[in-house]
Amino acid sequence: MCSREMRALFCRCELRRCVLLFAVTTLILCLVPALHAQVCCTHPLSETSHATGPHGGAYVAEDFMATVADPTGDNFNGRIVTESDYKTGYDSCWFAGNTIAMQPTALVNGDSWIVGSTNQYGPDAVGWTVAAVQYIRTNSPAHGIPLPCTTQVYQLMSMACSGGTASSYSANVLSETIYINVEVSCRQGVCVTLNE
Amino acid sequence: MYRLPLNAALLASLVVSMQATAQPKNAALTGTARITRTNGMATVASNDPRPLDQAIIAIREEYGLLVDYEDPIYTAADLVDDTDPAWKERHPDRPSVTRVRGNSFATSYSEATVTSPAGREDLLRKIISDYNQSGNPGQFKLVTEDKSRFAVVPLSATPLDEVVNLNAGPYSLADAVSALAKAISNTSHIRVVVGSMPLGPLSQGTYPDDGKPEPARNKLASILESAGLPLVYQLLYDADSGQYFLNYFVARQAWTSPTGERLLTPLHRH
Repeated sequence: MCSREMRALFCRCELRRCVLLFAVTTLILCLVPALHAQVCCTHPLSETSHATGPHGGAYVAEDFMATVADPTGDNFNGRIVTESDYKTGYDSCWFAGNTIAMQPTALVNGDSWIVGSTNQYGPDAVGWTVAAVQYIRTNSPAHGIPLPCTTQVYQLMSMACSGGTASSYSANVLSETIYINVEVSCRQGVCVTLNE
Repeated sequence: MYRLPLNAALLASLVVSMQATAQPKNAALTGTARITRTNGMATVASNDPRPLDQAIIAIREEYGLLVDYEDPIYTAADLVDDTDPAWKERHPDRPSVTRVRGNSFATSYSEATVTSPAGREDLLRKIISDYNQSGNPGQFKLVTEDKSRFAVVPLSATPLDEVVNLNAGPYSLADAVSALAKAISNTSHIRVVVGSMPLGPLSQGTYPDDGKPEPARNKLASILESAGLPLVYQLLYDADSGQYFLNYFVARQAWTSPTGERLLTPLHRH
């Protein structure tokens, strides 16, 4: 599949010549390793996560960077990845009537990132605000929810082509668990213990 | 000897702790509302300490609306003891905890009216009117913030009625909401704390405040408008601590997957 920009470039061609020229050019550009992922609109087949440090500010959260990859080592520099939910998550810290608007279910925000030259994107922060963590520690046990409790979401990562179509390539589990004294943030099984 | 910050709200919750007997955990309080349909009529039904809030969330998600919600300052008559008996046994010296005493609420409406903006506004007004007669805590009204944004607010004032101003300048979205919460606290003398908010790129949008005084509700709506995705807020009153939590989220719309699961996806700006 070629990009909309490529098609626009050749739109003035006579139809048969255009189709042929388009196909040949695409094939040539697709063979250039640095352009392969962009021109042919391939998408990664997987990603890995690594923790880069606390998010800081008003949050008890860990920042994660993700590295996307495919078997041919394509470069996805400049491509956009977007998160969605592949199923509904849960929040075991929830209790009826809480005032930090916890729901029994949990979902991702729907954020997007641009992939960098080293095939990395991020940060994807996993955690809560400081005020929310303090609230949960103070209130959830008294309302019958023992610690630790966990919020877990099911993040589906997709990469878009310039034509607008998007392909899903990684289903990730993200969680944050609140203990009495610490919080543990996890992305794809990479977990970090945080202190407030 | 400890010196407690004794204010009216804390006093109210102490009175409740003394008056109300601990109620068994109510498993029926689901924290969600459902919409069902029969013969062209839809019914939204919720079972939650804040049943109007939950009903509004369900309506908002069903029809992709931007509707904010604000609690009144609940008094002792609006609260029940919600302390877990096992926890109380282990912590006899700690104060009991309360929750708002609301429970179930349901109202029916014709879905034919929801297709137009005026019809959606009428639907919200009908839900609020029915709620106000349900015997659940609080009396509410609808505020139209602009042609596509509404707020369900109590008849009594909330801190967001205060006129506030921020120091002029560009803020990140998260910093702007935090600064606004501080400004509201200073003006209203009721503490407003940011509770839950989105993490990540969404919270890093830029809000260019002009430094002019404005009702806090309008300013908050302007701040949330600066995000890449539409956001909604819930201002919830915590009677046990005598403060409000200001929470904001991505607005979502419900859809049914091919496997029949009800999923929510972020709304997009039109």
